[in-house]
Amino acid sequence: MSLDSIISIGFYLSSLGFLIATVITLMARSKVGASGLGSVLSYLFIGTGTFFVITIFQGLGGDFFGISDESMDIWWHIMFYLAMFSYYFGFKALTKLGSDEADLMGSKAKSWGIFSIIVLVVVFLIPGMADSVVEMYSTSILAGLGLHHFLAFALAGTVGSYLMSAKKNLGQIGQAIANPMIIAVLALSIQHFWELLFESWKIVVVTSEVGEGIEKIFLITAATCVTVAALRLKSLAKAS
Amino acid sequence: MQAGGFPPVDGCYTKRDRYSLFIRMEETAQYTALITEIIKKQSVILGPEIAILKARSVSGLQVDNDGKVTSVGDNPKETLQNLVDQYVELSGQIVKNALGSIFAKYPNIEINK
Repeated sequence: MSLDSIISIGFYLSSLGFLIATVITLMARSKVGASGLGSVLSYLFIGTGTFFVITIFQGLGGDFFGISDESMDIWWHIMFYLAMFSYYFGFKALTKLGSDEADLMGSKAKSWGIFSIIVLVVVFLIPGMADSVVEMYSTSILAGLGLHHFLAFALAGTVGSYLMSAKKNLGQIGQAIANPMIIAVLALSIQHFWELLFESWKIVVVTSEVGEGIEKIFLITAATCVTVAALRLKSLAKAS
Repeated sequence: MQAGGFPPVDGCYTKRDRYSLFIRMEETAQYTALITEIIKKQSVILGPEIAILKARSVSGLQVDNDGKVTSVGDNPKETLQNLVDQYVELSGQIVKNALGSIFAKYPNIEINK
């Protein structure tokens, strides 16, 4: 089997994995119903759905949007931040469940969902028009240093800290979500670290195809873990 | 009809027996109200399906589909403790955050939180 075929299979697996994770999260949300935990699952659904959209964006490629691979990299990072902010809001609400703050965050889940859809539509529409602006960053020293990856690390670290808190304080629910989601966030962080090494810093020298192929391993791992988290939450209603 | 709307009893009951029975009914009513409030609060947090299913797993406790308690069993104190233990096992700190204000309304009832 050629390297190209393996990478294509990796792409389809990661995309399918996030699609399955999104659907199962939505099913878990429906099962739990309107509640604080339901709001947490709404944010998890938005974030996971955004990761699925990222795989579609990457699948279409720079040729489809008429932009360079470097610009593609920046655009999907913007969507990555959106997904991680969704997880941040969701897991923050999880650790505050039962408090007024969680109720307030829960009431904003719908607005966040609408905002996310708007951002995703814009990202699919404007890359060609805004390429010159994006290239100003992608050809800058900051991009060379990997600023966009460090932003991803910061978000992943924040999300991870809420997950650790949930694991420690929130009984079976916290453990059901936290254990697999910590691995998912770790896998996504390693993906960015890998990109930092081979794309930004160019410390690891591999072909673009190999680099992208290795990224898919982390994406498949993340998608699997999100699916497990959603399945565990869904099963809590039965196991109770 | 006897004083206070107390249900009619046969002649075997003394005043003291009737008073004890009245106290016990009052206590059961308080536990029923408290447990119903706890289940409702947990329904808002965890969703009605999880909250009610968890409550129904407690021995002696009967809950209708709306989360209203229909029976607390022979030992309401033990039922309440078991219910709180179940919710703590499920959601840990959330229960402690959420139930404080509810227990404040029932100063006569104490549990090990």
